Amino acid sequence: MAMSFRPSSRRTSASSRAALAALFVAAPTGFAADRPDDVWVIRCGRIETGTGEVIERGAILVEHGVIKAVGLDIEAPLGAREIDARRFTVVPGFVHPTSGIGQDRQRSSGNQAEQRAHDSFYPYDEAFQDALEQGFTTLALQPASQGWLGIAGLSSVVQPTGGDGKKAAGAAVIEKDVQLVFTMNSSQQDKDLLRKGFEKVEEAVAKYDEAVKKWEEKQKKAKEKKEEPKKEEPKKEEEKKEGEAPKEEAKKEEPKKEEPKKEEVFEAPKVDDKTSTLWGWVKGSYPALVRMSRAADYLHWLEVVKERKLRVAFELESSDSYLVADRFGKAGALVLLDPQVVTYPLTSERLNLPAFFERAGAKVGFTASRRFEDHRHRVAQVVKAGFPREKAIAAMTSVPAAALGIDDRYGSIQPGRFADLVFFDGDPFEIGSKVSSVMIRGQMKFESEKEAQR
Amino acid sequence: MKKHFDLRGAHALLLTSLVAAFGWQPLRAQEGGAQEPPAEGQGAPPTEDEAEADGELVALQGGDVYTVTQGVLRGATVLIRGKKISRIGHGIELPAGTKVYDLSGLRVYPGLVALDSRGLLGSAGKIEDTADPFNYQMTLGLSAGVTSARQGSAVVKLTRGDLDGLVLRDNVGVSLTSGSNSYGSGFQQRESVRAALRKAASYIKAFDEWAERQAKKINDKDKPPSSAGVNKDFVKLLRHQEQAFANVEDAANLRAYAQLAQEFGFHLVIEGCSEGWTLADELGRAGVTAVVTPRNTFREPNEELLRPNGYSIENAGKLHRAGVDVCVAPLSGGIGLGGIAGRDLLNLTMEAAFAIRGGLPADAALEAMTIGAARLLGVDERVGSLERGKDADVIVLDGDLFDYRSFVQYAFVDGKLRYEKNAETFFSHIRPVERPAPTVVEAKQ
Repeated sequence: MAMSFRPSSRRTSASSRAALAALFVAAPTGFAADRPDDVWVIRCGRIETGTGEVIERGAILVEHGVIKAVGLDIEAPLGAREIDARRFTVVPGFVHPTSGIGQDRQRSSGNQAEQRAHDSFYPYDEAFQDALEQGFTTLALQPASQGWLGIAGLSSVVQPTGGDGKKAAGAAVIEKDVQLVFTMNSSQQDKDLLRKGFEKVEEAVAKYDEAVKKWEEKQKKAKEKKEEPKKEEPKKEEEKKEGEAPKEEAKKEEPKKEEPKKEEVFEAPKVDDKTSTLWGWVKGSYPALVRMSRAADYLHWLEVVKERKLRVAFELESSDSYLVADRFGKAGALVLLDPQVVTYPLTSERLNLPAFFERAGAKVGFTASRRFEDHRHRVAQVVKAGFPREKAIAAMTSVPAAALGIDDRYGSIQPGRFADLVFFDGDPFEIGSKVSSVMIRGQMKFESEKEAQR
Repeated sequence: MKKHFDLRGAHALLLTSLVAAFGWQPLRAQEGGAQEPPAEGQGAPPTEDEAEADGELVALQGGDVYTVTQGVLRGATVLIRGKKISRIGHGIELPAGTKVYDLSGLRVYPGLVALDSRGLLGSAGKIEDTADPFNYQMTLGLSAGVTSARQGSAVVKLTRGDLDGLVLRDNVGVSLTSGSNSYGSGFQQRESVRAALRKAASYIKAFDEWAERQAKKINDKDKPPSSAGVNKDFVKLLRHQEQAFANVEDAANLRAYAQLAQEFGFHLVIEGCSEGWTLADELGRAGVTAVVTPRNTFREPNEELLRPNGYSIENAGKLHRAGVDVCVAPLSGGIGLGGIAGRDLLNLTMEAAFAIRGGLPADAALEAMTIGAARLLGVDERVGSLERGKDADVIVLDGDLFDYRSFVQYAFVDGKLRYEKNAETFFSHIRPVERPAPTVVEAKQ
């Protein structure tokens, strides 16, 4: 059910297929069957790339589900199909960075770091189709947690599959374990969870390093005995240090060449699941989403984290978080906010929280609610109240993708990203504009005209 | 200690070389030459200031400075460097880059010290891990002039927006009216407390004798006395490392507690002390400190009793004249905007004003909320008066501290502006006066 591949790994096969296709189409016969059916040139009326850039009358070249080129002068490869979308404004598919839709697990609290969201994924939630129809192509699948408490676990990423007469609409897991999710309250419990987590990771790292050192010494002795030139091995070992748990397969290959003994395989010391999850975050394999509800939480967070360099995005509740906006701004932090104008605490004075954080220098992304049809209009209200329009699309696409640590593959119309595109028949923020079609990985998953005909 | 100074010297050296690198040398030399002579006012030898040449410079200029411990300096300047008060006096030359607040016409006081508070941190539990320094009650506390407060067993500073420096000290005092050390009112309980105190006293005596023997090295096998069953709190009390706190109102109990303090020779702080005025002399002789609430009228005089009794507005004044150190606490240590409004922490100065009304001299009333309270909490080394080297916890008012119309205009804690009346929603609409924005001293050409 779940597919997990990245453009990088896929592109190699894609390019070979393209070469094959080029051979076939060398002498155009005019038969559609001979054309590569997933190379497209999409001629657009207006492209908002999701990085702040706007291209009028540009085109997008899509090969095998991946964007190859974007710009004004896109030459269509031989045999590529063209889509005339000059009536439409094309934006990247929206990203919902904090969704729990499809999460089928019982909620729990405390340290649930070992929890993996895709382990309890229910793919047929009707909300996925609602999301698709409103232009959401990528949704986080967050691990279940009891309110905002403790360490929830690892998120996955899902994409709607769309549906037709035969197949039920739903979503599929496309990326596993992309992000650690936890809550940081001004409470001793939350702080202790993190403190102890860091301690355990440090212990595990120390143990691992020691094991590597011992193993290296052993290898060295073995080498001295045999007196064989085998210089590469220790080097590779150092590289492996980066890996969370070195895979045995890779190790097996090397000794096989010279000595077939299996005893020589390096065994990493065992680490419990909770610690290894945190370890993955600490060493930067994936980012964390830190949920905070008050300004003070950020100070307590800093107090626990100290000098550590960590990959994090923050999800903030409105409350009094504006009081630390300048500190988030100075750090250039990525902040996820509800797209709405709130009031200053204890007053009825309006406060455009997203705009406030944006002005302070933070990277602002929007969270979404289950009411997907409202999302664009809620963002429109925030734009009306002062959030820069040129950053609004990014705040719905590339920034939330960056929060999930997947912005090199999702969330913008740039070469190398998946062709997740939404076609609007006008400015996405105009009330009257509608989603005309939604493309995910180069395939039309929703077309409103077809829906109307049905 | 020497090493420390060496380091500082190195620091200064580094700074000078940096300055030289940026071509500021002539300017710096000029400034050094023009520095105020150390003889004037509280001015310090310039070398020491150079040594601690880090931290932002803020000057509070032109206000009437109520130092509490060193009188009133009219139109003087308080120079803050980083978290500490660097200098106080007239004609202080301000280094380039100093942020200057023009406070002419305003009054400058040390931040007030609240002997009891509730809710200022917006949370309960271990302070370091749960405090919310953005909590609006903390802002309101600052608006009342309070910059330090006892919260539970800790003394905290109202470092709004920062966790750094929030906790001033922990484990304040030994309570004699609640918990395991309660002296109570029953005979048995009292006897057990006295027995424990006696035990602590004999332990101290034995320990000191042992220490003396150790110093003389009389016997190597000499062991220290066993501390088993000795009340450690009482040891601290008798060694004058801590003070005893007792919440007592009526004359009979006041007498009993005062006698206990006198007998065992520890320092007693009596909170409440409604009937203190009826036995002021005795309390004075026992050397106690009284924390009074002048507007507390709960203890109605009982006409059937032949002795004077009940509350009196003269309580604070009479106690003060009898040699009792007087501190002031409002009826509620919280910020009350509801039922108890007007008699809560927001009105600490009004409580003191009522003590003045009842005969307490105004300077004693000022001490009662500043250095006096700081002494009780054992934090007078850091806060409670405006002195060179002390924490830069300063409040600025537009009138006398005891005038009901006065508002705190600015409150600085650890040298940082934490409250500004005009910038906060709470009181900015009441008699608004535009204050000039702070200026920055430019480098001399």
